[in-house]
Amino acid sequence: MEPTLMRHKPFCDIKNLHVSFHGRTVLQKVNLTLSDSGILVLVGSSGSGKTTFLRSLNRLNEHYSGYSGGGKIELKLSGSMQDIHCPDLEVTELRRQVGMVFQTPNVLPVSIAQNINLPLKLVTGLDKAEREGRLIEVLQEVHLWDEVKDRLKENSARLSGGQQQRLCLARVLALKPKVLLLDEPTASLDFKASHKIEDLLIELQDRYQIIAVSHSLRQARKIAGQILVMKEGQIEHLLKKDQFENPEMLQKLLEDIF
Amino acid sequence: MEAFLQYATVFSALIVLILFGFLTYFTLPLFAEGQFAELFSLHWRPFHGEFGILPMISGTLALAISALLIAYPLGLGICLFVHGLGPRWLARPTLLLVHGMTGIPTVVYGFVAVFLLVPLLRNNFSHGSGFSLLAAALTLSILILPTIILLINSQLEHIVPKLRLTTTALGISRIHELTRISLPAASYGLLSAAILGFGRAVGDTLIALMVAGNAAQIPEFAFDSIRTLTAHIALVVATDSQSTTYHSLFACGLILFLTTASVNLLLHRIKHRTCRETDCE
Repeated sequence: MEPTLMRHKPFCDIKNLHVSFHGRTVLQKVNLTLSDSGILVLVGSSGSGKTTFLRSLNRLNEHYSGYSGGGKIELKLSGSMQDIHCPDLEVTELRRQVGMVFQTPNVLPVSIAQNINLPLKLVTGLDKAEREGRLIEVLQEVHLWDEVKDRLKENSARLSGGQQQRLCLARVLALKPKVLLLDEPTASLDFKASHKIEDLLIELQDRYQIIAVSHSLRQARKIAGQILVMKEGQIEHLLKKDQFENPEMLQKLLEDIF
Repeated sequence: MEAFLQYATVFSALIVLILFGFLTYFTLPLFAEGQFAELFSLHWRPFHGEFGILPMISGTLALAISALLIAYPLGLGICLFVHGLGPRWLARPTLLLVHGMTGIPTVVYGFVAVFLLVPLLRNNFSHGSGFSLLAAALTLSILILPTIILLINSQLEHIVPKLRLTTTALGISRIHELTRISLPAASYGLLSAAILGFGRAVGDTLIALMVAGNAAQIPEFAFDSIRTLTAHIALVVATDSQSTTYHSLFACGLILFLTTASVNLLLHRIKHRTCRETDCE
């Protein structure tokens, strides 16, 4: 099947995507056109290829050994649809525009400020004044500014898990991405910190195209504009908002699928 | 078992203390006889009653520093090569080779240098016999190279894999990641490699003895023949075992002992400080 949702303009067009590692197929025959309808949440049992799908979009799968794959992915970057494998598009530039936040917070072993400053400097080459402005802007955007403004020079490892995750998000936002990929961003956080991140993502959804993997149906229902159900390396369903607003309905639908 | 370990610890500590006492005790007559100033004179002419060990001290320093200057950048480069600047498939063989180098006896390096490097220097540069500071520094740099590489590598091994996915996903290039993030985070490894490399270079005897030429003079030039403290002790012990000549050796020993001890203390302090700054265990 080839689910399409044309409520707004498409931002992602995937044709015949397939990925395998060391000869073992992880994704196969993925054909999909996604339109901008709020946060897209990927659900599915473990091993269904959610993370690999996510990593296809910033070509991060190629970083792992044993990777082989093919297909065509077009993403809406800087106004127009672009083939992400096009040789004109540097992979580092693609990854700047398609930012990613991981399951466990992965702060760099430097200070809080440097966590944002250093990648910003290395990737965009902005000057110091501009970087400082951007630092404050993104820390405010993830509601971390008030908590860290007096300790920017402290080692980032001293922050709590939730704060670290928001710092990681801020670090990605500082690079002005078009698309945000989130791989179970709250998996390692407690209930309260998870809620903060969820509320934050809902706030950010108008500014960035967000695609998140989630292991929690509660979370998926809360933040998703559309839900993509994956099974055994394939797209099983693309659910619209009205199909999962009712929790029992969603539960039943997923039970039917799995 | 615990008691045994405690005894072993006390025993080891005692040996070091005894060694220090022994060296000091035998150096003392030099102080008593007022020959201490002579010790730090520029000339080693035992038959004229001149026992200056300054040429040996300067020889040792010149050799250790030049060996480090050659080996350190090379070692750092190899570490960066292994951790992502070179092709992935070459990383393991390179490290295996370096590990293999640690097992090669020093005398082999000395031997190869005497038969290959020294004639090469002699024939291509018309300065002396080829047995020189340069020849010894080149050979010694090969000897201390694995120490430097393995120390830096052992820390990068902990740091790089954790960072690589993050930096790759952020669009940071490999070279930027290594030079701007990984290496600064590995500052303890970088410093300890330099200090331990220097310590090894100071302590090595055989290469200096075989390749450096052993002339007791202050080195002024890369092709000068030099004598190190270690080689000096070996040479004098082989020919003499009494008189002030003999006593001056204990001063050499004491200097070497104190150098090594300072190297280790320095290392300990750096580790302590780095850990406090970076919250490591």
